[in-house]
Amino acid sequence: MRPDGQPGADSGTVADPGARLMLRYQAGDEGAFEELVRLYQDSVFSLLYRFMGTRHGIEDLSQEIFLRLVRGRRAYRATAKFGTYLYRVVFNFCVNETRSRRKLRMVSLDGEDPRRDGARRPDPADPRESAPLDRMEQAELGEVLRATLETLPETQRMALVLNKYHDLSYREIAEVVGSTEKAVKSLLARARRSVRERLAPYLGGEVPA
Amino acid sequence: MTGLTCEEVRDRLALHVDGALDAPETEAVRGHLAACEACRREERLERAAVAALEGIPPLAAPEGFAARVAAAARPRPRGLRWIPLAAGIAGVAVAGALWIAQSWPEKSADEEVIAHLDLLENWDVVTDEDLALALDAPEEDLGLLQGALGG
Repeated sequence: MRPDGQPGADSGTVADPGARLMLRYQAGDEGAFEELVRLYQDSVFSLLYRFMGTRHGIEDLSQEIFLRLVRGRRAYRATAKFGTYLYRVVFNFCVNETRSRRKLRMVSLDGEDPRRDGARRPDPADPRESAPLDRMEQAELGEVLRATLETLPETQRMALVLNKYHDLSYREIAEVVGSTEKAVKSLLARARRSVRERLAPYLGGEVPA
Repeated sequence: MTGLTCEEVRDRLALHVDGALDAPETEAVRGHLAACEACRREERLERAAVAALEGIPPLAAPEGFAARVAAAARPRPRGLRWIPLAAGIAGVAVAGALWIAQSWPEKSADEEVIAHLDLLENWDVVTDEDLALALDAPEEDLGLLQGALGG
């Protein structure tokens, strides 16, 4: 049996805890699935939140991701780190979800923006606010950052989020987005340059020509 | 690697800040930054942008999420799986039976007479046997006709 999780591996000898749980679930251990969800739920929530730029509907989207694992369990092979496999499911889901939301937004006449999450924005005139301008700037910077990430192509955005927050190597990111390590470096360089240029006015820099 | 342009350096700044460039490229970028104030400013911006990115907090799943997903994923017990299908089939069968019962043609005695007015016109010469042959009708229909005519 192979500890690297090659085909033929069983749950007893695979070192990756996610792959081990998935193999147990595949073999009929229903309880392993709940353990698997518990192990990865915060990663999936955070990844979706940072990719989508909103908390709105993240629970439903996360549930759909995990139910996709259920539907695909017979086809699962422990050929890579389970996290990479899961993030690939998330990435494919996010690409489809973003495209369908974009279409919806094009036909929607509703001016409400559900991404704002109803978060309270500080009032600079309120004397109870400590350093209100700083908070305003922070809130504005966060909003600009969210909007900037949203303008990035899906592959660049996913590469950036996985690289910055989920500690995936370039090779692992390449596996998730179906690309090469070299292409991922190029994606990341372009994504970070876009972010830097859009944030420049808020970070004391010059607006790029 | 020597002689990078400002544009080439700015393309490499993210990887440089992450420490992901190989040694010759790192050396070339450092050399350029040492001599270029505009690119040094861009490097400071890159570090500030990274700090802003790191300010997006994680999001934790709510209490009970894993249990809810596991419940949604759990298959129903084998026997129970057939209940909706069986109920559907039974419903269709009952509805079909009711429809057939309501729409089954049931001729009244008056309708039998109207259908055979030609025989009535010659009733005085029609025998029971003629009647049976002419009508080629089931016994109960014949009885209905005779009953209606008082025969």
